[in-house]
Amino acid sequence: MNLHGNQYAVFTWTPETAGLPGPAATSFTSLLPNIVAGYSDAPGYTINENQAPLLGLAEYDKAQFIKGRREAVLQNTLFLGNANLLRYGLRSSNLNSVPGELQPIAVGAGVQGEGSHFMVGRHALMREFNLSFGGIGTPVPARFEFWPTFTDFSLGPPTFSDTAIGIIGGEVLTWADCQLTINGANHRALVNTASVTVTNDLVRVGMRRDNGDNNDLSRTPQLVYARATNIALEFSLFDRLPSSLRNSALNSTTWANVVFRATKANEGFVLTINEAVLESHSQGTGSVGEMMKFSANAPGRNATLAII
Amino acid sequence: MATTFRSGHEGFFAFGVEGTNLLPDAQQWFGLSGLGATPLPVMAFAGFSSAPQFTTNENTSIQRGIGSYRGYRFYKGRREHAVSCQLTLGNPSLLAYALRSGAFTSPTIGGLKPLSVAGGAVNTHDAISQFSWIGRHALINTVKFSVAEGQVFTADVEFWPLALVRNGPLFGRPTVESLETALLTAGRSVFTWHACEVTINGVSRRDIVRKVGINVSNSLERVGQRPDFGDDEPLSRCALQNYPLQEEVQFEFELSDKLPDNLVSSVTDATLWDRVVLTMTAPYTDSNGGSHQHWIYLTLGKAALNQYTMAQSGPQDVMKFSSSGPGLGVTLTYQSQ
Repeated sequence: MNLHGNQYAVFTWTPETAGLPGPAATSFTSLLPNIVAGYSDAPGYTINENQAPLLGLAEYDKAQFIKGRREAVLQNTLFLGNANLLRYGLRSSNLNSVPGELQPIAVGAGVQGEGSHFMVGRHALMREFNLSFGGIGTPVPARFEFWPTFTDFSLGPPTFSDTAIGIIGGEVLTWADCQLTINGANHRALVNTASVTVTNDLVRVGMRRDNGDNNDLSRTPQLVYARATNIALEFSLFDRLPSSLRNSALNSTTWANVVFRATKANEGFVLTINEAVLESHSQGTGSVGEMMKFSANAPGRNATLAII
Repeated sequence: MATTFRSGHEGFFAFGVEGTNLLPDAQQWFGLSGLGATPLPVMAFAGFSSAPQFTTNENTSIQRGIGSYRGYRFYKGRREHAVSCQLTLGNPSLLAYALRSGAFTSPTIGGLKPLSVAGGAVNTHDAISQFSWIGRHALINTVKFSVAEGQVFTADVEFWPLALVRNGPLFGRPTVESLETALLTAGRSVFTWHACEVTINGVSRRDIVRKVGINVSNSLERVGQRPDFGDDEPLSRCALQNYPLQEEVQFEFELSDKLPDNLVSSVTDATLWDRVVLTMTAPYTDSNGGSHQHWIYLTLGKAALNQYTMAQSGPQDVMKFSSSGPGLGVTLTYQSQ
């Protein structure tokens, strides 16, 4: 056994350049994710074997266990900085040769140094990412989740200097570096916190045959497929929404766009939610000794992310 | 830069009442911070005081991440300022702004008046050493009034400015003599224990009270954060507004004997007191040499006995008692004739 501090953890990615292994394939070409995402936590991953007990008559013990579909999930949090990876969660980024489709990537999670190990999630799609704005004294965190089609444990981790990671990570972006406009008007001062969640409705399709637990393709999905995309905006506010965003005009609740622009030293990103509609707005209960709280929720139609 | 030494006697503390309220919506992303549009109010010396202290917390943090046991970069947090000083009263005009019972005219922030508070050094012998800083749009967070046997009446005040201008004006660079005269005039005649009266439920308790402390907190909360306009802009990264929440009032008595029964246990609601009034008086000489009197009345409309003790002491000591509790409806009144 080796003990590992999280400072030695590795999280890397690279776009997939070839198609999925065929439905009957028992092997695949390895791909080493060698791009560092920036400043991040140690990634977490789960591989669910979906073992199911088989119960039968005349036996109070389980008759046996049946192996199910091998399903992998990888999650992590980036601290922006560098938002490049998040483009893979948006079809509007047009990173795939098929317009409107998500680009599959390989994501790597492991640890460097003595007792190093590495897991590569292959042909992974980004199921969700969430950006939180407004936290005082914290960088803008981006939480995300990938669904790999299958995993590969055969490779060792790539190595990077901390200097290289610091360069890729870029300028740290905090709420003080952000501006927020709704319908082109500055509403930053109204916002306590804002959250944008982009969810791609992924589905695992089919299951490959079992070639043994020692085969990485065994019992994995034929593919991971993206269905509809949902975009959710949540605002925690210092005051109620201005009437221009509620009820002063015929279609006040239909907002043309919500734009988050986070830049420092000419580095950063612009996240634009096009066509958001006010779904609910509320004044929260609270006790004396607290500031009054207001909130608003607004689903969006589509989103774009521009890297600056 | 050569090191400059300054003595506390060269220091000053001044304040003024802001004419506007820096509304959160006034700030824009691009352009000036907005502070330039709010001119410095007329400043006055607060009276006899310690050299004021300011603290600026940039709340700088280290960005850490996997791949390094060191941090990668620093990032700046919310800029938070605090100014504190001890006043010897005298002149309570500044402290009137500590209490929402002052019922100030607009603009107020949650009932409190935003102030400018300034400190620094005005050394007339060495102009290089003089400097000034100004805390703008400051609210009083806490004030602790205190007077004890043989002592003068003091108030420890903490302000929360929204922004701090590090290189402010020097208020005409007064000479040592003019500064002294100005402070003497502003300070007026100080109030001392021997001219103090303490009443509880309208009855004098000066016979058993040795020390009185009345603490008021406006429970300020820093709300939000303005954009980063650059470290050279005073409004950069500071809160959108410092806002007062509930008023907390606490009294503390040091006593030379136990509390009388009617303030503790002789009737059903003995521990619920009607009024606690601290009255201070002092002779007051005006600028023409005229002799007057002036008074301060510090009143708790209601008070409740929460804790009372007899302290452990040695055989050679005088026995000591104390009591404390919350108060409601604190007011400060000043009169002169």
